[in-house]
Amino acid sequence: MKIIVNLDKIMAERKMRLNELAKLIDLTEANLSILKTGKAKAIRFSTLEALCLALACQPGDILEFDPETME
Amino acid sequence: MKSLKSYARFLELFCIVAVIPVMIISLFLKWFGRVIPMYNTMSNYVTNLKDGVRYIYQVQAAHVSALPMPSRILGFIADGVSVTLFIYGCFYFICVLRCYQRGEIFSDNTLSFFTNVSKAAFAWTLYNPINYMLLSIITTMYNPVGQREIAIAFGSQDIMNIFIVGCFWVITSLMHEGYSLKKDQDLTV
Repeated sequence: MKIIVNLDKIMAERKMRLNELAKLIDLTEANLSILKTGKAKAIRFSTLEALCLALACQPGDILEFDPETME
Repeated sequence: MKSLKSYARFLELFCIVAVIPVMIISLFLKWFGRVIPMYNTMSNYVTNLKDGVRYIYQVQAAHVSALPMPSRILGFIADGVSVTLFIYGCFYFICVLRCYQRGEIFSDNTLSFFTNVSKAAFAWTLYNPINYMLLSIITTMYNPVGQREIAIAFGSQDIMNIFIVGCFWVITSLMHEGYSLKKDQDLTV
């Protein structure tokens, strides 16, 4: 079971770059890259809220649960 | 963090300037004190000590000075192993303190250094009774037949040492937990 982060898809749809999004949500590019590549262990609600606000989307658009994927 | 860095700096200097030199100098003085002229200075200092402490030093010095040189060298080597283990632990403790001064509290380096300190402490505790046994053989090996001894002892000091080593291992386990928590924290966005 795995939580999949679809941040790269949303960013491509909104035509937003990593450094622009990092500035908008006040997060470092390194941390945002950790989230984007699926290496993050946890995400704060404040970060999720800032992402949804910046990308004008819902948490379900960014995070997806795939029961078939093994870690 | 600032106080941790200053404590680490103080402890590092104390280990380098006081602890390690005192261990080495006292090892040499114990076994070769009468040979090295500077021991005369220590003898003057010893006479100024209180009676009980002076008695201990004089008895020890008299006993060692009666030993032949081969026994002294063997005793030096036997005690030297104990001092080497202690200095080995001190060396890795100094490495831990230098990591703390750089701000690395929970890292791979700190963890491995602290584990080595615990291993050195464990080895030193295990070796102490063996050292006592070896010294009993070394100091009596040139005695007449019937007056040679082999002593096996395990005293209150050894029990205290085991307790201290246990505390070290608990702290090492805590460091492991802290390191894994820090890794999780680093991957929390």
